[in-house]
Amino acid sequence: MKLTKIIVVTLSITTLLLSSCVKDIDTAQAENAAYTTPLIMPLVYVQLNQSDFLDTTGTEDLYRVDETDLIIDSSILSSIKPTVTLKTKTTNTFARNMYCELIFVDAYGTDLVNKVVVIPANVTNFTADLSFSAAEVVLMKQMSRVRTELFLNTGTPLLQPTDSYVFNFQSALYFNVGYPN
Amino acid sequence: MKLNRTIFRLFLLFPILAVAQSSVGIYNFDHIPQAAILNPAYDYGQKMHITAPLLSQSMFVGNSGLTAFDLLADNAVPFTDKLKATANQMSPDDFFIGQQRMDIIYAGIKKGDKQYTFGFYQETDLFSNYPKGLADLFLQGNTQVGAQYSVDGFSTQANVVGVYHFGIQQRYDSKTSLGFRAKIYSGLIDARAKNSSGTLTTVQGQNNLYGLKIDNLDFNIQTSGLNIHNEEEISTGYLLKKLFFSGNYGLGLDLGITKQINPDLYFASSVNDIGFIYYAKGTTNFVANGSYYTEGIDLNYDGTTAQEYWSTVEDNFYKSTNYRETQDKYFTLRPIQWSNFLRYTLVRDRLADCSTKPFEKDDIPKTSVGAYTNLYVYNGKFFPSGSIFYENRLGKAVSLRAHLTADKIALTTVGAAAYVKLWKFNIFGNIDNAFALGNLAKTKRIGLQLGINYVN
Repeated sequence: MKLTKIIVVTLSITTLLLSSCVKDIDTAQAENAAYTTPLIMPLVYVQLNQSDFLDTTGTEDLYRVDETDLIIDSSILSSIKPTVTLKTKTTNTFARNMYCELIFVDAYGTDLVNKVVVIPANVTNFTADLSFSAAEVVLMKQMSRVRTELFLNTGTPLLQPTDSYVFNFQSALYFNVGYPN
Repeated sequence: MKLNRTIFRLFLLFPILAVAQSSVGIYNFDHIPQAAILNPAYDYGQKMHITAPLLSQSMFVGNSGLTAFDLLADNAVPFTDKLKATANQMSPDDFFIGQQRMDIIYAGIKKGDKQYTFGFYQETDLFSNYPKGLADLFLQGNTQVGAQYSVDGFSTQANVVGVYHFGIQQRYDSKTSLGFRAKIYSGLIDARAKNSSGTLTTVQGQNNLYGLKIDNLDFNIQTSGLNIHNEEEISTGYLLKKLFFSGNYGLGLDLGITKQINPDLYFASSVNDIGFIYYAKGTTNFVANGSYYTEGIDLNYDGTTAQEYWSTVEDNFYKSTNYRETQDKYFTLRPIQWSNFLRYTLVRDRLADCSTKPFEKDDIPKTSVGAYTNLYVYNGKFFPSGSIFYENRLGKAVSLRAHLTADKIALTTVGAAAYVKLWKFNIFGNIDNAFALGNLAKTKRIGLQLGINYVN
């Protein structure tokens, strides 16, 4: 008899004997169970002043954009479940509204989902919690980067280098990781 | 997917499958050749023997914290609730332990007053503290600001080795027998981490909403034999070849003594696996020590690329924690066992002259009682156990031993061993926790030993 067969027969007999001594348990419940782990991931933060909205000639440049790879590992992203919430806190001492848009994109640069926060002028610790729908969460499994676009409203008086405005934006992602995927 | 399910099922059944110390069951028990593996000074009283390959096995699994029933009871309580309740009642001091041994080749021969035994067996050893911090993190997540998830003191070790061995037993005088067994280890798989530390905490951030903090991270995970790139390689033949010739070798020694103190009192002692393995092939080690803090990514709007932001975070992590992967070779000590055995004869078959023939097979008592202690040292942890036993011989072909054991897992464990000689076959079995057979799901420990030998 081949070695493999001997091992299989021995293990089968042992397993059968041991199995007959196991009662009152149900292993299927563990396989069918769903687990979720809630996680916080600090996302991006921004600290800008009036100089960041002026070009080298002193002319207003009110649109700013930046993009970063996400810290979250792809193996975690593949297990992401509803609900996902983007939590933000902003201080805006500019005398104008600010539009802040976070766009989650995939590895090829394709936009997947986006959220916009409209931040009023002259606010401190302005908070907004933005939820993602179940359909959006499915798309988020493929996200690879986040692009942050800022639009400072036009207005008067015009920005001067000597002004002392501050725009501080903070964000974190709340999400659930679930098993099985 | 099927493989994952199988592994998952095995994990769930671990509490009932997992057992590992030397048992009183077959220690110096009748004519069992495997008793000479435990104590090389033991004369099992046969001119020769050959063990049936693969059919002589022992295993011990145990854990201090939970039973399979705690997790998998067939009742109306949702599994996740049972999982959380079980996790809550376990502490970082709880542990899992297991040992399995299988004789692949084992034979012995008596020449003059010397007994020679030799062979090759495969052994698996497992030990792990309960990683409470990681389990809590898995179950609770990191959303609770200020909650700390620690891996301080976490140790784990798993290895599979093949062992070539050669033992000699010889009488020192009419009442004393000495023995030793030389061993060459072949380390197939090894993974270990000892006294790790580190704490993960979510805190209120300074520049962002939250910060993630890793404090005092310190771990050194050493592995060997795990980096198999081609899954097709994992055949029985491949594993056997690697078991015999792994490229990771070590040396070891067992020492033993038996002494007939007086006609009624018999003493035996042994130390097993004083040895080491030097892992030189297929090693990958993961090392880190330091602290790390992040609040996410600080966008500068200055032309920094997406990849550069991420690289900065990654670099900071590796620099702060001094994280690195190495292929360094390393030594490990084998798990050591120290056993002591004392037997008092109540009734003997015949009035042998024990002063001159204390080791003749007919001198094995008809009825005796005794005590046994074992100290198992594994990965720097100590697992003492103590047993008492009652032994009775029914004719010359059957012996029974009932035993009661106390250890760190259970204070009273009732077991039984049996030896039967059928024609030229010597068959034995032992179970450490006989009452567990009623329902293995409710036990925290169990040990089994089985074997068949051809003797002459």
